[in-house]
Formats: sequence, C-alpha cells, structure tokens
Amino acid sequence: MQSITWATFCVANSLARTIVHFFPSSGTVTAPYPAVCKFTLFSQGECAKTQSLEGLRLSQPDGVRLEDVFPFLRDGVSGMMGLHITLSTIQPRIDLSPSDCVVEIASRSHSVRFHPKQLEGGKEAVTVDGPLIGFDDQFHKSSLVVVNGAESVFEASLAWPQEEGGEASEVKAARSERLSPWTVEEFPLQKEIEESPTDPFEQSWGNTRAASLSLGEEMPAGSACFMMYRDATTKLPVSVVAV
Amino acid sequence: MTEPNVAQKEESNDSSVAQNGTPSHFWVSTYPYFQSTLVLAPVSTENLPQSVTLKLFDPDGAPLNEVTLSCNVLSPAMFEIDPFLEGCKLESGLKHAHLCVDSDAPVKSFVRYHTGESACIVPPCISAVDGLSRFFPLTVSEGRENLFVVLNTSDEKASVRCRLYRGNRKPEHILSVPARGVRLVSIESVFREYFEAGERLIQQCYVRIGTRADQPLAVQLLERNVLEGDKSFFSLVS
Repeated sequence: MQSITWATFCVANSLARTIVHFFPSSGTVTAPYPAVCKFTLFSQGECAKTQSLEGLRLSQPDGVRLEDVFPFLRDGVSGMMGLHITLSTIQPRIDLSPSDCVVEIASRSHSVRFHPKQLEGGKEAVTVDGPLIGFDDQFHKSSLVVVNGAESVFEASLAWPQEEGGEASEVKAARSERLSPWTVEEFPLQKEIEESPTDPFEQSWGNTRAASLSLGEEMPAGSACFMMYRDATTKLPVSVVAV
Repeated sequence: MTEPNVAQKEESNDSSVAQNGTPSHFWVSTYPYFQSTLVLAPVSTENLPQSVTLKLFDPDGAPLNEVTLSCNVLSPAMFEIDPFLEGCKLESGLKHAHLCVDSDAPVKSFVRYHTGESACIVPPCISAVDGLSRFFPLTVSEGRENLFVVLNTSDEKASVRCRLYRGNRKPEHILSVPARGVRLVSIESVFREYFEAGERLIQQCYVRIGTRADQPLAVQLLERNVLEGDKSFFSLVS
C-alpha cells in the first residue's frame, strides 16, 4: 500500500500536550524516498482541520508536536480530540505497511506513549478484538475512550459475559452510549467494574477488582477504541492500549 | 487435550491475543524495581481455554519454570509472577525473565508492573523480524533512564542492531541475544559518548531495532522517571 492510516485521540491543554512520532518504512527498501504525513483533526462533531507535513524520509524516524501542526492548539482545548494520521508516498511500488506510529501524551512529570489503531482501507466497519479489561484498585482507574471518526452515529454497547451453571451463555448489557459523528468521548468504567460478577482478587499488596467487558457492535470505519488506565491518585493517564 | 474447533483456528491480528501456536511474549522482572502480575481473559464466550501454558526462561534462555493453568472461566484471571522467579539469576543487576504465554483457545493477556507507588499495564512485546524494524521514541534528560528489552523467541542465537537517532548522529550498537533469552540495553550507557553527563535539557531521540533473524524478536522500551524523594515512575511502549 502506498499509504497507511491510524486513528487516535489527542489532548492539548495546560496539563498535557500531544506529540506524534512516526517511522515511514517500506521494510527492505532503504533509499530515503520522500514521504508526507497528513493530519486530520476532529472534535465535537466537526472535521474541518487537515494539515500536511512534508519533508519526511523513508526509514528516518521523526516526530512533531501537534500544536506546531495546528497552532490554535497552543491556546488549549478542553476535552479530547480525534486524529487521523496518514503516511503516504508518491513513489510507485512502495509498500508502506511496515511503517509505525507512536502517540505521546506528555505532561510535566511524565509521558504516556502508545500505538494508535491502524485503520484498514476498504473496510466499512471495524471489529474490536477481544475483551476490554478494566481494573479498579489503589493503582488504577479504568476508562474507555471511543473515537468516532466517521460520518455516522455509533452506539457503543458494553456488556459483561455471563456464565450459567459453569457454561458460557449470552452477554448481559452493562451500558450503552451514543456517539455523534466526529466526536471523542471518555467513559469511566468504575461502576461497571464494581458491578461486574467477578470477585476481587487478593494480591500481595492488596485487593484489586478486574472486569472483562465486551463491546457489542462493529464500529464504523475510521473509528477506534482505547482502554485508558489513570493513576488512582493523580488521575493522570499512565497506560493506554488500543483495542 | 481438547481438539481444536473451527473458532480456535481463526487467527487474531491482535498481538495481545495468545492462541494455539501463536504465543504472546512478555518481559517480567522482580528485584529491585517492581513486581509483575499476569492478567488473562478469554476472547470468546463460545471458546474458553481449557489450559494456558506459561513458560519462563532465564536471561540466558535456560528454562526456569513451566506452569499450566486451568482458566476455563469468562472472568479475568490474575497471577503474580514473582513466586515463579525465585530461582532466577541476576543479569544486568536485575532479576528478570522471558515469559511465554500460550493457550489452546484465544486468550487476551497483559502484564501489570507495580511498585509501591504506581503501576502500568503492558501489552505483549511487539515483534521485529528481518524486513520489519521497530522504532521507539525516547526522551533523554536528567532523572530519566531508558532501557530496551529484547527477547529472543527462537531456538537460535540472534543478532540485533540497535541504532540511535539523535539529530544528525546515528550510532549503532550490535548485541547478541541467546536463544529464548533476554537482553537489556541501557541507552544512556551504551551510547554514553553521545550524551553529556547530567544532561539537563530534554532531548528527543529515536531508537530503531532491526535484525536479520527469520524468527521474530520481541521488543519493548521501559522508561524510568526518577521523581522527587527517590520515587520512580515507569512508562512503557510495546
């Protein structure tokens, strides 16, 4: 493929800013062919901001502060925004699928870095792989970040898997949220973890509650989900995992 | 041993899903930094794993422990790894090992590292193979340490090229990782001539990990941020 796209969320406020790192690569081709990175920013139902960054080279890692691409972010924006990142090259027969991208949410005291969700071209829907695992204890508070980067409404339905008589059975609805097009929402999962049928785990350092949740429906193309784990004391994000 | 059914044969693209013949690889450590806890959850309600096998190898690749878990329930399961690392040797001043998780049905797996003050969730290490290099952004400054973890998932010794990108400079370090073993690369030590002692300014650098090996290596970056009062905060990319 001559282009590759990822979806992620980002922040720009007085506490944290976003840095996007990318590695345009075609695997075995080592010639420094030029590449372009396109950023599409969206939030609160609007998708009007697209910028391109030129001057990238194949096999040369690079990065950019998002506020340098979109200067209005220096004033700060409340809440989360969605971002599509597309790497492309005009060189024919160059396959960019080995390329990689890492998003960094940097605050004064620390950074959290994670891989955004790679979008598969030509697909109308995205399937969420496997369960969402949340924790609630002295270390972590868990939340689900849903990025709806599509023109259609997405109904996020969370459910607990249920067992009856030792056998797996149907899932039980836990929560349903409606996301407008081009929006990003963070849903704390404390209540769902507390009410899950799992008993707390006794660890050497104390008890922890863990819950497995499933996201019922396929997501529209251009969308992504992330599990975010915040420090229970400072509330700062410490780990983010694309699901 | 149960016969694999149709659902078991369907392969997941998610690297955090271990399933028959496609194990997940983790780096686990205990003394002196943090404790490690493995978290497992079945992927499908219709295909629960009957057994999950954990294989632990010491840093030189010697088998350390092998445990088979029965976890045919839908709820997540958590296992503290420290008791399985009792006999592990010290390497690079750390007690650490390579954990390989395999299952007879798809199972999602994570490791949680926790100190007395903080914890972080770590998906399985990402793989690097001939033709697929991996890159990691890292921040170099006073009070930060960057440690690269390289796991060899094959039965052959592997050679790994670790290239630092700092401005226009691109020094390279080559290391050898024993079969099934682990090696740690301290970026600040290996490339010390490219950093000034007690560097105060925050510098953005990149590291690229490549190999000519046909069998994948598993890699991750661990950043230790030393805070006030000797407290440490760990951040990972994998």
